[in-house]
Amino acid sequence: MTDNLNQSHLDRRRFVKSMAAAGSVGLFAGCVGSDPEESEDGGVFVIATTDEVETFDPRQNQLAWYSSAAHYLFDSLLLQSPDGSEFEPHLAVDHPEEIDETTYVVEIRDDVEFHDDWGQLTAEDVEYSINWVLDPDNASPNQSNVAYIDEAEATGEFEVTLHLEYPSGLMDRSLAHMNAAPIVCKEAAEEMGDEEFGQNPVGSGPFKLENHDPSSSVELVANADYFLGEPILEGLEYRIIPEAEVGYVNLAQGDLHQSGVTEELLGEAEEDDDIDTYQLSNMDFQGFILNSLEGPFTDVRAREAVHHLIDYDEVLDAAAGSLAGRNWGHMPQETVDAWDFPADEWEENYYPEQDHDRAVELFEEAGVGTDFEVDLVMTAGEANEGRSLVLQNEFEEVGIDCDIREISTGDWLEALNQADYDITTYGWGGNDDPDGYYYHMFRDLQNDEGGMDDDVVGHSSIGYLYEGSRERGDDDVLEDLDRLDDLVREAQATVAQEERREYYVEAAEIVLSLYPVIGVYSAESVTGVHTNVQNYEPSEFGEQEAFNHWQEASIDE
Amino acid sequence: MGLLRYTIRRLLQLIPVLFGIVTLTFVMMHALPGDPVRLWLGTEPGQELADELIEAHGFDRPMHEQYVDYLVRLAQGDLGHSFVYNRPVVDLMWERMEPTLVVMGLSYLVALPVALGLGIYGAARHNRAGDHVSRFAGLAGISTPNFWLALMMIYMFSYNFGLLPATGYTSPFVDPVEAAVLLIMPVLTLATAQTALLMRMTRSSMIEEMREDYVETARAYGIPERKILLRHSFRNALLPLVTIVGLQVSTLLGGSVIVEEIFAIPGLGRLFFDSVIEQDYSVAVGVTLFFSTLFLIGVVLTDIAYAYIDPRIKYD
Amino acid sequence: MSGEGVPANDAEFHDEGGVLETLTKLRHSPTSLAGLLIIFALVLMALFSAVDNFVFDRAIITWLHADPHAMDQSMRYDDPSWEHPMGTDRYGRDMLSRVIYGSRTALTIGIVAVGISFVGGVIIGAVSAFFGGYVDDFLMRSVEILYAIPGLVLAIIFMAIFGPSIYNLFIAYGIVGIPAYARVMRSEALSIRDRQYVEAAKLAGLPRRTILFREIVPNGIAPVVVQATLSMGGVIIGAAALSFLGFGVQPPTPDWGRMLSDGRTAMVVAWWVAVFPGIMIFITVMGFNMLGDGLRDVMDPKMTVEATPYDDWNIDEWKEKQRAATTESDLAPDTPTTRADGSGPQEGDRS
Repeated sequence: MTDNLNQSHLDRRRFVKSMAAAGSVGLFAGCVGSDPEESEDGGVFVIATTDEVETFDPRQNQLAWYSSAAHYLFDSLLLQSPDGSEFEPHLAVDHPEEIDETTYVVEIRDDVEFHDDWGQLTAEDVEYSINWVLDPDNASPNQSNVAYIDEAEATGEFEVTLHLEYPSGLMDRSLAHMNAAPIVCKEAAEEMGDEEFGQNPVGSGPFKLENHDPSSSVELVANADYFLGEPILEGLEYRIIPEAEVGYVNLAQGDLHQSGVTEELLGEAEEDDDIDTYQLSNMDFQGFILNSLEGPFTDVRAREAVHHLIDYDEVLDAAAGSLAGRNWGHMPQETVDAWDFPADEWEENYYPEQDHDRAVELFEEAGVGTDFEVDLVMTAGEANEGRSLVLQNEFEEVGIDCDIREISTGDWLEALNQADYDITTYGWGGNDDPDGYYYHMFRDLQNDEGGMDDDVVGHSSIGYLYEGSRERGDDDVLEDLDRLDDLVREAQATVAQEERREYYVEAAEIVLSLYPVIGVYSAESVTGVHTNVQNYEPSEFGEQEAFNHWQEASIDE
Repeated sequence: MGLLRYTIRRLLQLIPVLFGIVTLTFVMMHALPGDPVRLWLGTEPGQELADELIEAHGFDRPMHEQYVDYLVRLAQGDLGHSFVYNRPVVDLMWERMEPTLVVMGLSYLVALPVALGLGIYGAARHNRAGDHVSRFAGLAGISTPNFWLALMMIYMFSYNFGLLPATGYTSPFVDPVEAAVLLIMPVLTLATAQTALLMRMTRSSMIEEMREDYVETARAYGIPERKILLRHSFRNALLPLVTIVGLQVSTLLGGSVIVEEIFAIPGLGRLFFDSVIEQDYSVAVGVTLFFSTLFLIGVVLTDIAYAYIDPRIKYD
Repeated sequence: MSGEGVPANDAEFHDEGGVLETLTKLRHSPTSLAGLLIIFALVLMALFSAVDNFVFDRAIITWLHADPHAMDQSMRYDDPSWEHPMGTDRYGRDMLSRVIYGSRTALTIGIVAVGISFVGGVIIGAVSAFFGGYVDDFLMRSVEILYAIPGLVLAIIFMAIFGPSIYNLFIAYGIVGIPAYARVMRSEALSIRDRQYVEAAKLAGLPRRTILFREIVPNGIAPVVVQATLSMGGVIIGAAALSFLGFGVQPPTPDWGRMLSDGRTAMVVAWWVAVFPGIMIFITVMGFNMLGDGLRDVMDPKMTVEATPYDDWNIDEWKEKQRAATTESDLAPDTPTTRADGSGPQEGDRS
């Protein structure tokens, strides 16, 4: 989930995948200095994951977990530090050097070799990789994450110039992630073509692909020529185990070294002396969307009424138990704290105490009364079921019929497109920048370049707030919404954080006062690591953590 | 010669059914919700790209043309393109075929001898204690939901006792020992109901055979009961069993969806289930088609086996 | 279901008469009596749940024990105790109440789905046998097509097309079951078609529909009833499997398959959530199978129809088909087959 940075368009498949990965593994990173006295024979590090790999080509990848795993096979220009505070030069020698507002120069290491004698990594490979993602013909899901770049140009053997479309506060972030700008081997990619490259990836990472048993395992072996040195580990293996709890059983048995731990199993895992657990924030938004286009919640008072129905802590408890934290302002609390957003004020004004009488009153004012039915749509999973059950209960208590409909993720995305729900469960991982939430969830899609298909009503984002207001000719609201759209777009194209903060504070006020979504919590996930893994500590932001600038893992058999 | 002709004729008889299945899968593919173009390109694809894709895959052409096209492609062994994996469906299925067939084959291998043994035992002890026990066990076997059995086994043997790995797959052709350990629970899950069913079949047809006149005659001639049972009755009782074994291909393939999902076996059943969830319908329909074909082949094979075993049948 | 009186001199088990009479014979079979008892108890449970749910809004069960829908986060995954004999689930709901309520969906699905299969199968089978020729060919080929697709796979695709709901679950398993019933009915109808009383009815000028549904269907229905009892268990397991995979009954309606599916995530810490619903499914299916077994023995000791987890198949018919197809090489492959006792149709006899 940490990998959904800057989603400028809701990509259907990534969404499916990132949601599926929620609550399972996905997160592994670390921060302890490497220990030189560790034995040379490092063993094979075995990690459970719930999803299959569809393609090994990070430029085409849609899966959250592979966005992380791909760091072992490929490198990026920068790498985010495990505490998230900075972006360390990785393939780059230093941070991008600013020539003017829209021109940056990146110098690249001259000691990086691609796997299997595919030669040296040069500026040409960087130019090719970034431009390939930018080319709309390639339909790369990463495109939107680097859309601020107009073109990458090799201006020397080891020097790349980035010509930007507009300045972006998210540049470093995008250059550090696999779902934005992974560097692939140009020669190999061109020679093989998309389909073959997806099965036989050629990168420069600390490990290379040894074997892939479809739906079963992915085996990587150490790359002896890695530019940071040869990894101690002999290899890495991902076991694809669809049920997280079964993965945990394997971990408890010692069959593998790392697995996600479900909330139910947390107590077990903590008691197990052979397992270290790490509870990490998923950096996401979890709650409900209310349909503002049609159905009972088109009136803002009806939407506010639903906010009065629930007890937020109860919803959180039923959905995620101890694996979650409340948040305010529709972004993770970490972000709110880091940006010093006025969360108290938001809570005071827009997160009312549970009050059924007030809710009924508001329903009456909105003209819907309590004599209507609510179609509550959810996708599979305990977190969704838990929160839906609580909400359903509250509706029933004030005499409103509420039916829950559980549908597959594919159908759910279809339902979002077609506005086929009254309320739906919703979660979105947008990383730690407000842009990941506000631009993605609350912009006006109509103002996007290229617009939308005719048959797509709009997506989930804001419950069709824009579309609904336009259809009803609600001018007052539209004025606010136009301002909202300006704000989130402006904030994205601004570099100075203080300025961005002001934009987001104003945007949040508008969003919260219209009650289009019920924001409840940020999920946390727990990953369990066997104690025989040395020098390895998962963190929220780290990538390539079995071997990176900060730590080097080994297995103590 | 006769058997060959019979085989060919049985295969020819499959054509209309196969044709019907192909048609049905085509209908399914178009009835299933979801839009492959959006699946591949995201929710807000550029219209140009979408048009290109639509044209390349013929989604804009009239139904009957698409149908003919589907038939032609099938005849060439092309099951279409997966929009999730961006690879041909045939490749995906080919990679996942072995585990499904191995687990299915092994469940037969486990089920048949046990079922025959218990069935004959039950028949020989007809209406005595041993028969009642085996009969009850048979009833219990067919009454146990396989997904529940699978979960209980994981709980008992993997978690509580730590005896068996909960998930995974290794090809028995690569590492037979590891494969054996990994496949015990999945195979037992599938084989339990199978065994119970075949056992009941064996028992009842053996009992039926033993009521036949020739058995009385044989008894009158003083041929030992054991010999009558195994030499004569068994051979005849085997016939309906052979048919059932063929028909059970279908049940086992259906069961593979559940077993592969629970035990994380990388087979066709899981491919099918995942592709339905993700609306990657060319894959789902491809697997369906393959399962049905496999079933029909199973039926024809048992028919042939039947003709071969049954001395009363002359195929010409 | 027992229709017209049957001429006393008619062959085999048709002379045993109606279903009622058969039932009285069951008293000699302890297994089927036990089965009947289990089913009776379950039906009571289901009726109670249905009435309590729809008429009293769960008041009775709340008064007796606990509300199956009431959540209590503080009681999350509570061990079985006097207060909660089967423990509580993830939301602190009482498992016993939910297990009791679960009988409602399980039995309804079983009965409705089997009902659909039964009616569909009987009509298709009887029409197919009665009209023969192209009608027969067409219907039987269609049925074979349905049969060739594994039941669970077909049901999943059906649910994916029409969306998950309990009603679609009924229909999905109803359709999945049709082939087996159609085959049994057809082979029975074929054997009856040329009996004297049918001939007599024809000569008397009765309309074909009347003959079909007044004479043929009632007299051939007994094995179909056995089939229904035996496949009830398979349908209940199948529907639970579908709910287990997330395609079936919607929350918060208590359903055993769904409870089991919810329970698997917590099996290590709360075995009771997965164990009890599983046991209930087992007992229910066992009940139907025991009854079916007994029914079959009573009605025809020679019949070899067997319950399979998801569908059923008539061996006799297959045997005959093999025999016919292999002995008479010039017979069109899909001609209705002749029964061993010669009661089947003769070539060219298309009544």
